[in-house]
Amino acid sequence: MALAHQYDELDPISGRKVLVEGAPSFHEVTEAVCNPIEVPNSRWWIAFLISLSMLGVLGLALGYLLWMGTGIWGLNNPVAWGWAIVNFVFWVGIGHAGTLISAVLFLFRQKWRTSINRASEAMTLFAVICALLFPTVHAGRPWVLYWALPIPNQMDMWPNFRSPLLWDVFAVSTYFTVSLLFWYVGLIPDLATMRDRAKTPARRFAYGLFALGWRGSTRHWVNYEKAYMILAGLATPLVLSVHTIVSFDFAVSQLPGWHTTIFPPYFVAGAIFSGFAMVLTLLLPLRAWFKLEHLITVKHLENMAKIILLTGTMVGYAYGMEFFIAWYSGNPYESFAFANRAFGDYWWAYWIMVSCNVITPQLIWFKNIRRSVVWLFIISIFVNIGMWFERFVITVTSLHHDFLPSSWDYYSPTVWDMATFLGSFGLFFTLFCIFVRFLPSIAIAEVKSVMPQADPHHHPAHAGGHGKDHH
Amino acid sequence: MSKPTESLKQYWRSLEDADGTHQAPADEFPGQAMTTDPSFVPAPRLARRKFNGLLGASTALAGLTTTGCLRKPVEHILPFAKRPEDTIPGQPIYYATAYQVGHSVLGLLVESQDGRPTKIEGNPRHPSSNGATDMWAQGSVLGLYDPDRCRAPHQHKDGKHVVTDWDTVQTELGATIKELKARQGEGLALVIPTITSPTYRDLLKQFREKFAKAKIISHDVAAATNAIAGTELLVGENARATYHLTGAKVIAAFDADIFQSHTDHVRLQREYAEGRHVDGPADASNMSRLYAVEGHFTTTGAQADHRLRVRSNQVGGVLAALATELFTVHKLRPPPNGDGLVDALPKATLDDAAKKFVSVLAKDLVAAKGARGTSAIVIGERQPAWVHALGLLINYSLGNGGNTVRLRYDDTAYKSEDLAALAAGLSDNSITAVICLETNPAYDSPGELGLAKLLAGKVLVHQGLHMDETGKLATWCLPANHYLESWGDLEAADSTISLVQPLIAPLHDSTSSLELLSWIVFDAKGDGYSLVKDYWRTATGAMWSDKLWRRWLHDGVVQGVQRAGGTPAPRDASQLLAALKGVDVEAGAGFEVNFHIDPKIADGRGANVGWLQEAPHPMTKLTWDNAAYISIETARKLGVENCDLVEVSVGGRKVTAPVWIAPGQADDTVSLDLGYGRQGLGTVANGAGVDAYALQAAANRWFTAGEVVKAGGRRMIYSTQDHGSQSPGVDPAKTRDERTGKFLGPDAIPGQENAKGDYVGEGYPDRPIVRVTTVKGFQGDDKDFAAKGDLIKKEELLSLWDHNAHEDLGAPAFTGLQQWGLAIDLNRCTGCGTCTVACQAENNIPVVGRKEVGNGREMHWIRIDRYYTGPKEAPEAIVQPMLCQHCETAPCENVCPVQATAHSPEGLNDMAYNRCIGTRYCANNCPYKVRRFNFFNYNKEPVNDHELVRMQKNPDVTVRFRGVIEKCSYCVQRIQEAKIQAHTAGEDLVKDGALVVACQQVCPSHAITFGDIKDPDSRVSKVKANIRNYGVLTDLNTRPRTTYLGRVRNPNPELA
Repeated sequence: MALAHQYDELDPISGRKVLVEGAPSFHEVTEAVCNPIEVPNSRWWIAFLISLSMLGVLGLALGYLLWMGTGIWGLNNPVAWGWAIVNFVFWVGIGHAGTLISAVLFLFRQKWRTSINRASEAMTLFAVICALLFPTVHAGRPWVLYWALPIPNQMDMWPNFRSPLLWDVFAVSTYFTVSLLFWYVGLIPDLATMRDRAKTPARRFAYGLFALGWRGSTRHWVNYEKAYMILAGLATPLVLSVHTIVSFDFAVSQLPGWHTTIFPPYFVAGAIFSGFAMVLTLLLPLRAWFKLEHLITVKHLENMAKIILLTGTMVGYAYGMEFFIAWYSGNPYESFAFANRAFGDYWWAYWIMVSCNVITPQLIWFKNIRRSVVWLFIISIFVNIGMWFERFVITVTSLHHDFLPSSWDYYSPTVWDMATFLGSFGLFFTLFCIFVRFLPSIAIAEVKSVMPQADPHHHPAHAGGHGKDHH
Repeated sequence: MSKPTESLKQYWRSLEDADGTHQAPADEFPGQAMTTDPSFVPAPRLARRKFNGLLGASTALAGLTTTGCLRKPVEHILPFAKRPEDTIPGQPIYYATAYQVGHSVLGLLVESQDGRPTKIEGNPRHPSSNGATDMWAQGSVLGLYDPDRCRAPHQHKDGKHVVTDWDTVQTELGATIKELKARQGEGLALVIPTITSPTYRDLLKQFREKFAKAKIISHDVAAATNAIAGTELLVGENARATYHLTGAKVIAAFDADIFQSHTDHVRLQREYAEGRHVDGPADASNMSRLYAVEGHFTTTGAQADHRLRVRSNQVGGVLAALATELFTVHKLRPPPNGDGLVDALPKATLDDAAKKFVSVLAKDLVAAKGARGTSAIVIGERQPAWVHALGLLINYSLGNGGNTVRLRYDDTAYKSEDLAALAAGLSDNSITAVICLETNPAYDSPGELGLAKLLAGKVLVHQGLHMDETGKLATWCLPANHYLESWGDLEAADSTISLVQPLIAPLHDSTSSLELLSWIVFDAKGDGYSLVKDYWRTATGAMWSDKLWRRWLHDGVVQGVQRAGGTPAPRDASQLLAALKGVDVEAGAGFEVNFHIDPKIADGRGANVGWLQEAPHPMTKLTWDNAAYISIETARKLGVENCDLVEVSVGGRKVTAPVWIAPGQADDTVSLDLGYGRQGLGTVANGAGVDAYALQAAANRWFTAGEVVKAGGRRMIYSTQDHGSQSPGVDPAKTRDERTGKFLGPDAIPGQENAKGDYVGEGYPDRPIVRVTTVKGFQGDDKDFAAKGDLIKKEELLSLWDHNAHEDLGAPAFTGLQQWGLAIDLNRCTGCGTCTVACQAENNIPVVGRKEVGNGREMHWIRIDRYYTGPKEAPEAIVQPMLCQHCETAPCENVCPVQATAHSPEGLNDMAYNRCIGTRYCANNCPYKVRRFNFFNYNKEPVNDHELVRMQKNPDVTVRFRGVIEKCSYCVQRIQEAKIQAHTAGEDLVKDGALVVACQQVCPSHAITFGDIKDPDSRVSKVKANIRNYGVLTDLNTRPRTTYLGRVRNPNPELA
């Protein structure tokens, strides 16, 4: 297994690890990011076509679903929520890392975020789109889903503000809107760069339209930074609120295994955990294929790995605490629900979840492993699988055996459940492919701001001789 | 499913149509033809702009409405131009009629909605039904609208059946019959079911005269053939015995499925339930005690306080041992000429448990003897005649004669022969023509007789609802009227007579078997109405008046008819002694193959009724299939699991059936329900289950020695309760001590302490869903057993809503004048499942089909949960009807994002189907799991949406569409109707008892009480005031409006 080099370059002034390796000039950074967008790439086409065909599977699955009804899925009487809701929570969870990286780390002045925030935010948006798809189509009558929105009408019919599903509608849509704005505002300087580099009138017009006339003046920068800061402030509580409210879908019900107060922090930790894993899954191939290793450095990967280790351990703690409370509460239904999780019909799902989410991340304690691209990719895949299973375990094992043993049943998905899930990956990757093809996947302006050249104390002579011999 | 030549118009023939009380659409506005006739429309004068405007607008509107047209096709309705007198459109009318299965006759009241019979209720004036019905009667209304019914006369010509008409039948078949008549019916056999109709019996007398040499063959699987033979064995010709459980303190059921297939099971169930009524500890001692001896776990066994699990051929041995015990140890006076009886009785080898059972039972029976016999020994139809005779003898020795067992003479009984005579006649060619009237011997006769082959080419006439197995062999296959289309009369087992009046003119080109037989006998087509009325006019003589006739029709019960009589009594045991010779009651080494009338589809008559196929079997909860029921031990021995195929063979005849492991089944026995395995009968019946008739032996059709071997392969069969679960109910090994919470070992026995001194409670100790105690406990320290089950005391339950006084945010305010609630007495409920089907009929609940049940998506609004307890091999069982609990603080309501389910001021948990968007969150949050989702558009499936089937739908209830949740509404349509009636009568409140919900109305046990809980004097309030009252899962603070009365078992302390 190829391990990366063990030591990072140090910034000559601050003495900290450099965030951009190889000491490129500003122009070189722009070239590195923009070139893949402007020059067609055969690898991209392969990825795009695969994604597009998966999207076709989604179209087929949804078409059949709308024609026939949710009966094509494996749902039954006690298990009224199945893969669709599992997938919803899974995708919402993935949609967490982006805003965390861009907003929370921004507020905490974590400069290393600059090279990964753009792609993670895009990932967030696309994941939330995938997530929103599921509650929409899983409804029995999706054509009247708008009844869940507070739209004034002549019948004076309002949605039920007590329902966590309604809170969900608000939470996820707010999160999506703010994330989209935040992402877009961050894009403006780079869109202007793209406009200025554009060689065709069409591209110039398109990028120019969205660049909103950005010229890079100081006044622009002052306004931009203020707006960015405000949006970061707005987005930060949302990072916590979205998954808190998604967890309410479960926690507010009275079902053993769902009705627990630990759910909000547990879900948020799990969401960040899965979100960072997905960022790694996406960025590791991206930085290799687009040759961005010097911008998304091993140090970045290491930092993300550490967050995965932290949140993974928190999730593991939550798993343990759930069992403790189930026993400590003395509630027979609760203790049964958890015994059933670990040793019941779905024991395999539970132990897949524990192995992937609690045991696998512990490898990150080893420096060799957390600095190894291959290892991190493997771990990220395991975490993705584990977090999907976590949602499966929570949703299905709690439902399939609840209060009255007479209605207990076993749930298994159908081919249409699987096709819809696969198709949602198609949607996600198609959107992501389009993103990396047309927009700078690294925030050029922000990366430049953390390079030594951006430091007022920077001496070009010093920097010029630095780092060349390492590569 | 192909539809032959009949047009839509033909199906819509109704009484009104026949009477000419509504008019054809062309004449709808007779005086106003000018306005609708296009030739009278004056030439329009339109300006160009106006014209263009209209053109544009109409095009736009056409575009707009295109979608509307797609979803809602244009349907023509025909209003009454002249309303028939006494008919209020939309207001149902009830007609009394009667229904028969075997010797059980149920008096019915049938609801008719604008001429369409839609719902069957019991006739409260009829002693056999007493206002209730059974599952079969509930399903029969759907049988009327069965699209697969034979719709026109068919003639077998050139190797296939072709549709013909009654004129051809009259001329061509008439000629054949004339020939037969000329030969005095030589070579003719008339195969008829159980006939209890006085008119029909009179007609049979005439048939005998005209066809003196013809044979009359009785063939009815559901008939009480053995019971009658046994009674005649002991009492003499034409003697009939009936059981009456009113006042019975000790009941011993010997292979008698008192609540499902026994003659008069509806009445017996009610009488049994009355005997189990308990108000409190004071009157608990008055409760009856039920002993059951059986090999297949039935609802009777589930009710029993003590159940002895033996093979069916040992049941007689146990009864013989009981008789020996009674006549020797307890010195009961032997019957006349019964001196040698004790010596003649077969001596069965019984194990210690059985011996103890017998001696304790004998003691209990003798104790109940007293001055007036208060015990009953009920023998099931499956047992041979000698067992019935012996049971009757013991009953009379115990002084039960005239009390719990009553004898009478059937003075109009007719002589007939059995199927063996038919088979013999067919084999030696002495029978060359067979007329089968509403019988199907090619299918439901014992396979050993090989009648299906023997009958080929010899069936002259078959009349039935379907072109069934016999119909396919017949030269003339004639459609029969459904009983709801026929005139007739029926005599119940206790000699109550009811008139059968049609609710609708025949939907198809059919005739009743009474009419057909009358034509055969008299060569002139008589109509059923005249036949019945003329019979009674003659029979009653001077008493007759049209007023009396109308009274009978109205009441559904014929009164004041003199019966020829005599009081039969067991006078001579010599015939019984003769019959006892050579009786084998030993267990034997091999397998015993048992056959049972199916609790759901009876002998197969309900096979094409979707409701009955989908109704869960009362014990195993299987739907759409029968199975080879075997015990856990036998399954282990055979190395099979549920759904594995086994080959059951009897005398070389083989049937491959899937296994279903049934706890409580006797070891080395296999039980098969009859009536399944139909091919080519109808879309519902085809492919459901396997045909067990093929295995039956001629000598004893109910149980016989056979073999069972693993066949390899599987056939998936589906139970609504044990979906994907092998373990039935409680595993003692996984059960905890109620007091210490420790897990118990696998050897733990409920109700007893194990070696380590741990105590296993009954039911689910961890889940106090069903709450049970014993009479002893109830009168001792377990008086408040129902309340003890609450995990959290009522006063400690805190609600999230109560602190908030705001009307929208606090606890729901119940401002309605009346507050509805329901109570179910678990002491009375036997789990027969009739309520499930009644609810389905009342509430337009769709049939989802075998596959969807397999997917766990059955739609029943009320289900019967069955829990086992005790040792796995021979457990006890308890049942609990589960329906929407109408929680006052319903968990389903606050999670619905669109408020599609909400509380009414009267405390109903209402469901607005039209508002539901189908998130199914409510179903997840319902702790009782009673919410049902329309995963597909079930109501558009052919089985629910055929133009005939649609006629059954209750117009007061919405037919639900795809993607919405539905559940029990407490029959809100009936509540609204009762409120309207009260309002019309100038009352503010619905009077107690004026409103009954569908499940309550049909319940033979009267286990369900519904009413206003705000009124402390209402029946439901009084029931709920019982100390046994408890709510399920009230620890969740759901405050259910449906509560249960905990069950008190009455075990004999000596057997405990």
